[in-house]
Amino acid sequence: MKLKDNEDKIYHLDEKKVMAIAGDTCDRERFASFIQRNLDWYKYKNGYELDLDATAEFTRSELATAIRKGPYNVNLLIAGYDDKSEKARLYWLDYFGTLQEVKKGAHGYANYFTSSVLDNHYKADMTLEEGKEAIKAGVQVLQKRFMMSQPKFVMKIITKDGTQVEEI
Amino acid sequence: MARRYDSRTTIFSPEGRLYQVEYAMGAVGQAGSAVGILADEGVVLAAEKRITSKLLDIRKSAEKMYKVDDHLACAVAGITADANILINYARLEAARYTYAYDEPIPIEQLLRVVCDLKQGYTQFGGLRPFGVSFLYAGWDQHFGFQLYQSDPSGNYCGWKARAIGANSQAAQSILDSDYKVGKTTLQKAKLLAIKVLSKTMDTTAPSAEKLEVATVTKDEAGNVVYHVFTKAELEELLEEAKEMLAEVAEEGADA
Repeated sequence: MKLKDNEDKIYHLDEKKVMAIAGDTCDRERFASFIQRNLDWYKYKNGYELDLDATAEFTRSELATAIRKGPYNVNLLIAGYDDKSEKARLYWLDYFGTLQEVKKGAHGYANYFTSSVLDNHYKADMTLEEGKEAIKAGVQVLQKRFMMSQPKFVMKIITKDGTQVEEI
Repeated sequence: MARRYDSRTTIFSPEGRLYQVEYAMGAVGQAGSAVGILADEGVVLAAEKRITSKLLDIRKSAEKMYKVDDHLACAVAGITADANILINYARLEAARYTYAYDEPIPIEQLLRVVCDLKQGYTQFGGLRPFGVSFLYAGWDQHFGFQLYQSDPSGNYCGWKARAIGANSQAAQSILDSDYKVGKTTLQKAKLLAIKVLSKTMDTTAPSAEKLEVATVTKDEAGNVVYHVFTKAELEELLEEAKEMLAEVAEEGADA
């Protein structure tokens, strides 16, 4: 089965913040847009961007409020570079309003296939290149073992210099 | 002739003035003075208490200084009952922000919501404005230590040193001449605050019962600390300021 291969599900929230979001298309687009616009509003109201952990918390809190009213059926990963503490961070969120800062993560079917691969590749103080290799190894496992044909993956790399887009 | 345009807050006079707002500022000008000074390592708030009696149970309530959040406090000049409503609102908004973002509210953002509320009462509803001015002192990660003043109109401004309440103009001119930008330590700021209050207070000498002093600083661990001076600490501060106060009294006698 071959599906659309040029849909970019990694939305840019700010220059050094992205949100990878998976789930029902309508909820995905609506929720991502909602978060993007709220962050923009904050930036224009206050003259500075909302910082990375506050962004993760805000996103979580919207999901947590929505779950018992009209849930967004989406799971996400928020990634960014925090200028103040000079660290890159990754957050794992799900549609209940779970929030956890993590070193590596995945959602959906990818989680089943790549968890162990990422686990094997991960070590403390990895370099950027080692990180890219780990992701590529995960993608290769999916392309080999998963029933869906997914020849193209988009990869976004966030560092202190901003966000770069690559294709695997 | 001004009387015809007094009765409703929500209308301008022919000259374009809002009399109720001006009268509210007049109410503030009758209240006990409060001074705020931004120092290198923190902010000092000092105020004159109007209600003094040894029968007052001071452990339970403050007259002039209030904590809004762990990183933010304010001094009040004006109608205390009005101030209580606004402080409660400020505390609520600060907590709401932390609930949404899991971080302390940046000071100016808090100012804006409180001032938007004050402004509302000058434009619609047909209710009188709040007769309070505030001096907000706090720390946030964007701009460090900050001092702001807000008045009944809903305007606010960031200051390095500011006085509100009775004799605030005289106080402000002393601050103007004595405050040194970038060279004011917390200790200097405390003494300057005492000097200013001693000149603006009705009685000749300031005493521990008539003052409320608080500082917003950071401890060694980097946490923001709001500290209200105890009676003993006030007496110690007045002792340190004695020489300076003697000079001030002399100047006053000569002038």
